[in-house]
Amino acid sequence: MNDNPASVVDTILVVESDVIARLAIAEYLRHCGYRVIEAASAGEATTLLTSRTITVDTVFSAVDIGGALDGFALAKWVRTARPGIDVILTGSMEKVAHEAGELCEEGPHLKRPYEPQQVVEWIKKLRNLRQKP
Amino acid sequence: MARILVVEDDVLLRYALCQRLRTTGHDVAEAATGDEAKIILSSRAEIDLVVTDMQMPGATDGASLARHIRSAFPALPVIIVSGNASSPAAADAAAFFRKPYDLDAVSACIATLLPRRSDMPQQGRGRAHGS
Repeated sequence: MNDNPASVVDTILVVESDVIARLAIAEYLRHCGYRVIEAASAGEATTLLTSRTITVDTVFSAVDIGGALDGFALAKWVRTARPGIDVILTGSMEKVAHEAGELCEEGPHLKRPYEPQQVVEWIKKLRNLRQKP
Repeated sequence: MARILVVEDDVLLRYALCQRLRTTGHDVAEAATGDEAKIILSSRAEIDLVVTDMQMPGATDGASLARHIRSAFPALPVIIVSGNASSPAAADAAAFFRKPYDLDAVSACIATLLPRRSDMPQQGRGRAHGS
C-alpha cells in the first residue's frame, strides 16, 4: 500500500445481499471519493479477494448475507487469508452482539439502519490505525 | 455521462465490465442476478442502458429480463452477453455479444447506442425510473 495518504484512493469492498442497500452505500462511498467494488454474497467477496489483480483496503459487510458464509465467517476468513484488510460489519444489534460474543470477533459493528457517514468515519479511523507504526 | 445497469452473476466478469465503464465516465449500477436487476429498475434509479448476461440463477434469467424491459421500458436499450453463439432473446436486444467478449467492443457499442437516445426528446426516452 502507498505510504502517502494524500495520493491514495482506498478501495472498499461492499458485501451486501440487499441490492438497494448495496447500491445506496456503494454510491455514497464513490461520491466520497472511494473506489468501490460490490459483492452480493460472501462467496463473491472471497472470489474478489483471492484475485491477484484486485486490491482491497477495507471490507464493509452485512452480517446477514445468505449463502454458506455470513458476515462473521467472512470476517474470520479475511483475518486469516487476507490479514491487513480492515473489516467493518453491519447488522441488527441483537444478532451482532450474540454472534460477536460467540466468535470473539473484533472490529467495528454498525447497527442497522446506519448512517452512511458512520461508515466513512470508521473507514478513516481504521485507515489511521493501519498507518500507525 | 450515462447510467448503465450491468447484470452479471460472474462477479469477476461483472467487476471487469463495471470498472471499464466507470473509467470511461459512466455511472454504473450492478446487479448480480436478473431478480436484482428488476428491483433496481423498479426503484428510483434512472437507467439509460442495460447490459445483461443470459444464464443467471433465480427466477429471472437474461431472456426474461430482456422481455420485461421491452414490455415495461420499451425505449431502454438492452445489450445481451451470452456464452452461447446465439439466443432467441437477441430479438429483444439492441445488441448481442458472445462470451468471451471484448470490453472495447462492448464499450464502443454502448457509445453508439447512447447518443441516439440523447438526441431524443426527454419525454420520449425510455429511462427506467420507478414511481
